[in-house]
Amino acid sequence: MTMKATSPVEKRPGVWGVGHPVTAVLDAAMRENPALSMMSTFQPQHRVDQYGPDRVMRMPIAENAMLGMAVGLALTGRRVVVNVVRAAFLYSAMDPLVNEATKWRYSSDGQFSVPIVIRALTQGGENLGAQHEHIPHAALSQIPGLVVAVPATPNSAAGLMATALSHPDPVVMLESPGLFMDGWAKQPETEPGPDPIPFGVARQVRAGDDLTLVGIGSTVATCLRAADELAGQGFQCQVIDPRTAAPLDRDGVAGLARSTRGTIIVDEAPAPCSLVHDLGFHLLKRGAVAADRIRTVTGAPCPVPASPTLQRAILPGPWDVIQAALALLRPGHR
Amino acid sequence: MIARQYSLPLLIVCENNGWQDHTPSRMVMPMEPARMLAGLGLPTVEADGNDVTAVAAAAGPALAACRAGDGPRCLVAHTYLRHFHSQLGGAVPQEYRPDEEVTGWLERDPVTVAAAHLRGASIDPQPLREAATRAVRRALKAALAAPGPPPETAASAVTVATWPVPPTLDGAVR
Repeated sequence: MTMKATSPVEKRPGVWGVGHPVTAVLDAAMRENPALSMMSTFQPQHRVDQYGPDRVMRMPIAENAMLGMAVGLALTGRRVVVNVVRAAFLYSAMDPLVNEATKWRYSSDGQFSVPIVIRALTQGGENLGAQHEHIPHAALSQIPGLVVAVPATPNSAAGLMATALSHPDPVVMLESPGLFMDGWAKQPETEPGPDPIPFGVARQVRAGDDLTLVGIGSTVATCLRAADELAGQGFQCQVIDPRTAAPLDRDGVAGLARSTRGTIIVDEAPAPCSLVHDLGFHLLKRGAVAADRIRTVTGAPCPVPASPTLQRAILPGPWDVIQAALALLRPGHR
Repeated sequence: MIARQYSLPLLIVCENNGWQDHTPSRMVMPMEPARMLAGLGLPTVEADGNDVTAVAAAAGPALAACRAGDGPRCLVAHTYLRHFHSQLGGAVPQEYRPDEEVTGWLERDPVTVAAAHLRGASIDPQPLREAATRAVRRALKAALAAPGPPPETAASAVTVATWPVPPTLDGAVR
């Protein structure tokens, strides 16, 4: 897949999202599928010029109306990528998401489907404050039939987007701002390329016999950094990326975790009713890990503060994972 | 606003029955819906929603404008709920609506009004009414007599995607 610079701004690689593999996937899909539309409060002029204002739709700040309209378009046979920009703004559009997009197939017994893809940035690194930083994958995973993709790397975002663009039902893509911020191309990449990634299939992104570290979204990188540090101390940790919170590859993670001496599940989201507890319970039930050999490292149940210092205090970092790992690896470690 | 911006061929019909669940609209809305819609720049017409000919007369020009590409239109049809908002078995909260209000509207039931129009055109509505009543009774009887859906189909149309554990009923109790 090749990227073609079509405006001056695209000649500045490394700046927000420019030259990003997920953008290349979206552009390719726009070229190949005339039934694909995009909605957002911001659309680059060159894209509007290229595909026309009826397909590249400039929307007012009205997420509820935007998503409702996307559902209507999808019901008439179109596919729509709705960029609500921030997960924080998705809360304004919960009715069309929860009561329309994810209900039409069921209520019509399969006569209708709503193939929409909702993109939303989550939290971390931008210091935008409590009303703009959210990581709602656990809450969204409670909506039956909704795919909740949580990419960990730029290629992961591209691969999950490629799959989302042919998925027959609604998909939410929760993208960490770190995937697009200045310097995004320098972060660790765990996927070989931007090829489609199947939903609900976990991937071992680093091998190791001693411990299993499971991350989701941005905490995959947290686990990788912790694994690097632990390797320096002689411990080899495997790192697993479930890639989608829903469907969640519980058995895939269990199969991989079985081979090590303990598991740590790491998530930015708070622990109550969470992915870490869902997955942890499954690992225990399947006997993949003993009850005294499993730990969780999560965000505090606290709004995300604007201060970077306070953010570090409530969100999990490599140090927290390393401490949890050493507690499992070295009995008596404190 | 989005519909206006895109000049969508959209006719929005507001069935204004004067109530919002258990509360009269006038207690919670500062103005009539038609005035509010017009204020948003949406050409709006009002009609007697219990009179099918009045609704047709109002909708005709609005639909023609939609089809001509003149953008969305609204039609506020003033009407009433024959039965109350929540028709949950015997729990119909009749007491919330003044008797004289209910009686006044029921006398102008849409079917009664339509029958009067037919009689005015020298057509006897009675055979039509009896045929329709028979059809509805037959459908109701058949529906009540039909077997319920097989329980195993309860989760069959959640998604067509392949999930590691398909969203079956077993999924809830694994």
